[in-house]
Amino acid sequence: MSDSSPSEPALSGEGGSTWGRRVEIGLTLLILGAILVFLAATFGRTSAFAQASSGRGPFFFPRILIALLLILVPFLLAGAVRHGRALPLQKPLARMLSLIAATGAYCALIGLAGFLIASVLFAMAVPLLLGRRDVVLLAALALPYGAIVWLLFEKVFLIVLPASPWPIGF
Amino acid sequence: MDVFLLAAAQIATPLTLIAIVAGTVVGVIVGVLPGLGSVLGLTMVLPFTFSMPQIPAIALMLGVYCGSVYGGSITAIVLNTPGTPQSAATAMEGFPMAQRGEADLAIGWVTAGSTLGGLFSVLVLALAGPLLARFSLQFTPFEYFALALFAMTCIAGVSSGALAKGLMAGGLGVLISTIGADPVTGDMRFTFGSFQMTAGLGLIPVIVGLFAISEMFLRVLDLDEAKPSGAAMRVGFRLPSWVEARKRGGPLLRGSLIGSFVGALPGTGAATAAFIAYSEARRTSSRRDNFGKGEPDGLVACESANNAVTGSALVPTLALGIPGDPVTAVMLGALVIQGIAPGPMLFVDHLDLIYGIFAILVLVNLVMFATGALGAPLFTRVLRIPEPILIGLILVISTVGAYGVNGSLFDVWIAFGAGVVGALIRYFGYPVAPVVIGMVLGPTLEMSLRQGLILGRGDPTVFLERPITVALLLITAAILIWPLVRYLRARLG
Repeated sequence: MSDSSPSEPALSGEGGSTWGRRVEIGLTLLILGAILVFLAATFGRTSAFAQASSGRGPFFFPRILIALLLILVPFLLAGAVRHGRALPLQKPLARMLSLIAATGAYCALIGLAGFLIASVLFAMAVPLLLGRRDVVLLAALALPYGAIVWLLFEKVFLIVLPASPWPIGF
Repeated sequence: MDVFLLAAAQIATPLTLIAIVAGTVVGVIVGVLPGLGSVLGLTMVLPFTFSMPQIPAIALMLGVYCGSVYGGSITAIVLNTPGTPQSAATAMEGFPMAQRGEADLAIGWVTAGSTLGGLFSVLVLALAGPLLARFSLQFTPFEYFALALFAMTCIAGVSSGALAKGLMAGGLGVLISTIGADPVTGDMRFTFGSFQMTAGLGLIPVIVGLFAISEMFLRVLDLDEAKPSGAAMRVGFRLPSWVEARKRGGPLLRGSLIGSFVGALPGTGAATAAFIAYSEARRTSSRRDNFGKGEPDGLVACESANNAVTGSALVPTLALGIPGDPVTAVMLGALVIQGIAPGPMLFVDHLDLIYGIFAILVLVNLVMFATGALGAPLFTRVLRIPEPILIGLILVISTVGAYGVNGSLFDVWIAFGAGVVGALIRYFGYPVAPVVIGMVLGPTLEMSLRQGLILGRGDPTVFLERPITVALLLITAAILIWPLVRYLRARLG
């Protein structure tokens, strides 16, 4: 990951604040969108028993809640417009996004290759992504750590962790 | 007498004693590492509790809780960087002491102060818990609704500078809690056609995501910043002389009282208690000129306060089933997984468990003292673990925590999603604690509102006929309106 060069806009300072404001406004609008999706879902079909309930049915409380949340949205938008937090610099932001992607891949790999294999690979991959290059040390840490966690949960606490599809016992 | 004997028998098992020691040591280590905090420590040990019996599971959680509150003070003294927010005040007196070569004495002061403050809070829990539980047996759905609303508003208002963001976070937490089957009619809500959503979003996976996973995502933003190393500081343990200790009885007692009171209030925690106690010690001390230069009065006050919170915070959690902060919310979730239903009936039907918790807390505080005395030099070595490696290891154990509740990969994805959302909203100043509290209190809020309306035959004014309910609603309204009044006064004044 390279540091931002003079030709690329930095994501801090004035420009960063503007982008930060935009992202925060986008986040607020995303929250608003999620609230509206929930609101739309409250107009689904309900049972006759629910409609007759003087506890006012299953969507009575959510609708009150959603109405209160919608009242808050303008205040949040006003705050986002007035005060923008600068976005992180490119390098740390790219690092964070790559860690998020790696964690997502790890979650998917657990289901495909089993907990132990996925965890050992992930425990090695994260420090490599974050700049470490001592592969031997990372392997020496990741293998026993993954194995200990797996043993503890599978054999001691009897919490069955996802296994790999291959007949290797883990 | 039988109850005492039963509680003692439950504690005196090898597994419980191992859980106390292990939990305390893990808690201290978590506390020493800056930025991790008690909630992350609890979420990391949570999966270990799933298959443990009740008492050892509770012992493990309480050990981590108390240990992490204390552990942050070691880093505060050695590095001038509090390991946990609760220890921020400790750094103000502890680091100057360390700079003049008295790090071992500072650690001795905080270890003694934390232990005595923690033991004091057990006394408060033992006295106040049953009283509050007995009092709350009179509570009807009206009181529970007002109390849950009051707790939510306090937490939303106190946990961040922006009330609107706190309220939105809390509201979203309550909204998430409505996903799944309606508790009254059984109708499915907000499942969006997904079978897995019919059981709602699990509290534990969301906590793991919002606190542990999002914290790791955000930490990589600061990896390039130079961080102080404790390698050069000689760390030991030395208790003060009896003559010096006797002079600090006042700050110790005041700190313990402040911590016990503040801990029982929703929305406030050990950090608030520590700063209030520190300010009070500074105001009343005859050695106030020494404050800021390494005055033990300040150390004893804030450390006794922040550990005095640990027992008293359990008072509303156990007696009412209402957590006052994310730490007790995690503990409440763990108790529910263990089949324990916090609330007033806990003090009626499970008195042996209650006395067991009292005994565990006493033991945990004593083990914490021993851990600090013997292990302080060792614990600072964990600060040498490179952060990139630590992040990977914490993410792995957090994933197990999310998976282990129901053995479901769906929960792992919930935790991941909560981690991504948590990182995004935390970066822009939204607190995540109210989301968790909202998820915990949401069912209480909704059920008590609907039960109240059923009792009142649909008439909402029936909520205003109960004095405790009205008092709590008025206080809640005042908390909501006060920022607006302050804003208008500032604009007009």
